[in-house]
Amino acid sequence: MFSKLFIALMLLVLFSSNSIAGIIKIDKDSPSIAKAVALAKAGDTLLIAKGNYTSSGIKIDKRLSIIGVDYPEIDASSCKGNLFSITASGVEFNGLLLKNVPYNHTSDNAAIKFIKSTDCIVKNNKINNCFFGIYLANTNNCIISGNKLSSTGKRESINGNGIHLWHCNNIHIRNNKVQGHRDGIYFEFVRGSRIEGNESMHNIRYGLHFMFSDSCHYINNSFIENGAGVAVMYTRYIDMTGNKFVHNWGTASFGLLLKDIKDSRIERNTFTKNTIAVFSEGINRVKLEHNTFEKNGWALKILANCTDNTFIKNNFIGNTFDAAATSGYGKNIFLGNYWSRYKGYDINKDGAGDIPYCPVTLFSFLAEKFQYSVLLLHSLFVEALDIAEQIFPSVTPKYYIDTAPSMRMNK
Amino acid sequence: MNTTLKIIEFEFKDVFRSRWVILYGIFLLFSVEALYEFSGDSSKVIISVLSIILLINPLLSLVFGSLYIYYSREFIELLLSQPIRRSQLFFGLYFGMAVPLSLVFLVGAGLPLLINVSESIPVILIMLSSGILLIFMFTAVAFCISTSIVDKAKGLGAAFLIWFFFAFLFDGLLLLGISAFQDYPLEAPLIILSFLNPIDLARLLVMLKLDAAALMGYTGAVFERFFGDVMGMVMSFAMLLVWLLAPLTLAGWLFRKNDF
Amino acid sequence: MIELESVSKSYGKTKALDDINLYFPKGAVTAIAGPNGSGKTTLIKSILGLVNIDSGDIKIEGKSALRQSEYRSRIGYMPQIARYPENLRVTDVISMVKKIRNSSTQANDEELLDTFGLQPFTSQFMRNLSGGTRQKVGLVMAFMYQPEIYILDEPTAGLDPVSSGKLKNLLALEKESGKTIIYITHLLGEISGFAENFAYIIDGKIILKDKLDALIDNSNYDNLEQLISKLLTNKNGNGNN
Repeated sequence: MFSKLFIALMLLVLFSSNSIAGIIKIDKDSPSIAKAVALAKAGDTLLIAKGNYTSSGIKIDKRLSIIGVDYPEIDASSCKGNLFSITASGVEFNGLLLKNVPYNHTSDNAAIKFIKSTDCIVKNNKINNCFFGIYLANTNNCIISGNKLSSTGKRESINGNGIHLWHCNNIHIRNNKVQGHRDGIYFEFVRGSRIEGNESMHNIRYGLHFMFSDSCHYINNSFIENGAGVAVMYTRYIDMTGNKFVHNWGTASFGLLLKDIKDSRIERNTFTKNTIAVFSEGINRVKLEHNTFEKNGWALKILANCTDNTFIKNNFIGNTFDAAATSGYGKNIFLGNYWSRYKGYDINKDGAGDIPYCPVTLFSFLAEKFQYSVLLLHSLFVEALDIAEQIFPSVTPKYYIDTAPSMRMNK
Repeated sequence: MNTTLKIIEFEFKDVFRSRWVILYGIFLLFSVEALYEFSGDSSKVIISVLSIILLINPLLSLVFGSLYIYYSREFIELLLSQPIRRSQLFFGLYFGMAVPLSLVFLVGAGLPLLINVSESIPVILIMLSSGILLIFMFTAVAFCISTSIVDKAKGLGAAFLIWFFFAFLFDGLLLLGISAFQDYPLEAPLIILSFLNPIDLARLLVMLKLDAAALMGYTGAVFERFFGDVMGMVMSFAMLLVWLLAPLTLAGWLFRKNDF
Repeated sequence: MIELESVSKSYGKTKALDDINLYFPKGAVTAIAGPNGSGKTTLIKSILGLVNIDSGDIKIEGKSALRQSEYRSRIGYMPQIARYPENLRVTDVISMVKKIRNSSTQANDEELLDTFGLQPFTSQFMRNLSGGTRQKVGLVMAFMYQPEIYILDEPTAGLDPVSSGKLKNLLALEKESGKTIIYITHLLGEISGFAENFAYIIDGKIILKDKLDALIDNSNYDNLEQLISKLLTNKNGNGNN
C-alpha cells in the first residue's frame, strides 16, 4: 500500500520536474535490465517490478534512476565483473535486492560500483552475499543511506568490503547496516565525509577501516563484534563522537586502533567489552574526552610515540586493566577521569580525589614489558602484587598520573 | 574393599558433622552467590570463583587433611588393632576425607554456578572437576605430611609451606624466570613448567576456556592451541593424574611403613 | 599363646626394643612393668602390628603374625589413651568396630555398657565425654567379643576405683577360662596376687622375667619394689664401673 503510494508520488515528481524524462518498466514480460538501460535516455527512470531477475553485468554511462518495487531480486551469480558499474553522474539506486556477486581474485567486483562519478544516491537497497557491496572510486558528493549489506563469506581473502571508498570527497553514509563482510566500511584517501548512524557488526576483519582520510566525521555509529574491531590509520582531523564499540573480543582485537592519528577528537564514545578498547600508536594532539570504557580487557594501550594527547573526563569502569604503557615518554595529560578502581578520598569535597591515580598497575606494566608474564593473569601472586603496589606505589614507574581523579562518574 | 567401605561410611559421618567442613560449604555457597548478587558482571564472577577454588581448595584439603590424621592417631591405632589391613584403612581414611570435602565443594560452589548459569555448562564442569581434583591431590599430600612428620605443629607448618609454594611462590619464581629469559622463546618451557604446578595447570585449563583467554594475546593463543589440542588435553589430564597418583602412592607407602 | 623371638626395634638411634624374648602362656596374666619410655607400649604395639619390628619374629599359636591382619580378630586391645573421632556417638564407634570385626560370636556390649554404667552416654558425641568415660568405652570394645587374647595398656590409669575393681574381676574370670592376658602397668603394687608372670623392661631390655610367686619367694625382699630397686642399683653400679 505504502510502496504504491510512494511510486505514484515519485512518478508525479518525475513527470512534473522533467518533461523529457521517461519511465521504462521492467517486469516478467520484459525482464532484461541491460536492454532497458541500452534503450533509456539520460534522465529516465527504470522501474523494476517485484520478481526474480538475473544479470551478467550492466554498465551505466548516463544519468538514470533505477528503482525497485517491493525489492525485486537481481541475481548476479553469472556475473564476470560488477553487477552495476557506473561511470555517469547523478545515478540513483533505490529499493533493489542485489545478490551473489561472485568472488574474483583479480578484480574487486561489487554489486554497485561507481567510477569517476558524482552526485549519486544509493538508498534503501539490500545487498546479500556479494563480494564487494557498494564501491566508490574517484567519486564525489554522494549519499549512501539506509542500505542493508550482508555477506556469509568465512575467510578474509574471499570476502570483500561492504561499503568501500577510494579517493572520494564529500560522501554521506547514513543509517546503513553492514555485516559479514571483510571490512564493514573501508576508506582510503577520502576527504570531508560524514558517517552517521551506521551499524557495522560481525564483519570478519574491521567494522570500520580507514587510512589517509582526513577531515571526516563519524557520529553515532555502532561497531559490534567485528573480528578485529575498528582500525584507523595515517589520518588527521578526525571527529569521532557518540559511537559505540561493543564486544570486539579476541586475541588480536581492538575496540579502536589508532595509528598515526593527529589533531583529532574522540569524544562521548562508549567502549564496552573489547579486548583492548583503544590501542594507540603514534598519535599526537588527540583529545580523548568524555568517553566511557566499561568491562574491557585493557581500556587504553599507549605505545611510546604518543605525545600531547589529552585524556579528560572519561569514565573507566570495571576494566581488567585501565591502562598499559611501555614508557612515560610524551606529554599526555590525564585529568578528571572517573576510575572505578580508585580508592582515594576527597576531604575538601571538590569532587576530585585528593590522591593522584596511576592507571598503569604493576602487573599491566609487567605484562607489557615481558610478554609471557601475561600467563600469570588472575593468579594469586599477581593479585597480591597489585595489592602490594597500592600500599607501596613506588614499585611501578609513574608513566601516567591523573592528578585530579573524579570521585563520581562523569556525565 | 568391603572393610574400606565400612570405614568410609563412619568417616563420612564424622567429617560431615565437622563444623569446619560445614562452615566451608556455607562460606562457598554465600560467597559465590554474593558475587553474583553484588557484581553485575558475570564474567568477573567466574574469575573470582576460580580464584577461590584455586586458593581455598588446596589450603583446606592440606590443613583439614593433616589435622584430621593428627587428631585421629589414637583412633587409627584402635582401628589397626582390629583385623583389617593397613591399605584398607588407608583408602578408607582417604576417600572418607576427600569425598565429603568434594561433595561439600560441589554443593557450595556448584549450586550457585549452575543456578546463575553465567558460563557454558562445559566450562562450569571443567571448573568443578578441577576443583575436585585439587581436593583429592592435596588431601593425598596432607596424608604424606601427617604420616611422615610426627609433630603436629611442624606438620601444619609444612602444610602451609607447601600451599604457599604452589599457590604463590611458584608463580613468583615463574615471573622472575620470565623476566630473566624474556628474549628467548619460552612457550615450550612455560608449558612444561605449568605442568609442575597443579594449581597453575588447573588455572590455565579453566582460563583458556573463558573470555579472559583473549587477554593473554599471542602467548595465550599458543597455549590455547596446545591445551585445546587432543594431544595437549591428553597430556594435561595425564599430568593431573600423575599429580593425583604420585602423592597418593607416596602417602600409601608411608602409611604402610609407619609405626603408630 | 604368644611368643616373641629376638624382637628388636629402633627409632633412629634409640633402641626401643633390644632383642626381646618373651612367652605369654594361656590362662595367665603376664604383667609388664617399667618406667615411662622404657618400651612397654612399643612391645605391645609390635604384637598388634601397629609398630613394624626391625628383626625377630612374633608368633601367635605358633604362626608368625608379621604383616598379617587376621590374627587381630582374636585380640581385645585397650589402649592407654582413649581418643575417638569427635563427631561420632558412642554407639557409632561400637557399631563400627562390630561391623569391621564381622564376627560370628555374639558381642555382649550391652551387658558391659550396663556393668560400667555407660548406658546414659550411648547417644552422646565422643567430644563431650570425660577421659574416664572414654576409657570405659575402650574397655567395652576390648571385652565385648571375649577374645582369646587381651592386651591392656595401663587399663586402670583413667578409671575410678569401682570400675577398676570390676575390670579386675572380669579379667580373673577370663583368665579362669584359659585366655592369654598381657597387662601393662607402671604401678607395681597392683600386680601382686593378680598376675602370674612378670617382666620388667628398661631401655628396651628385659632385665627381669619370672613367675611372680617364685620371684618373691626366692628373693630376700618383701615386695617387688624393693627387689627391683635392688636390681636397678646393682645394674647402675655395674654400669658405672
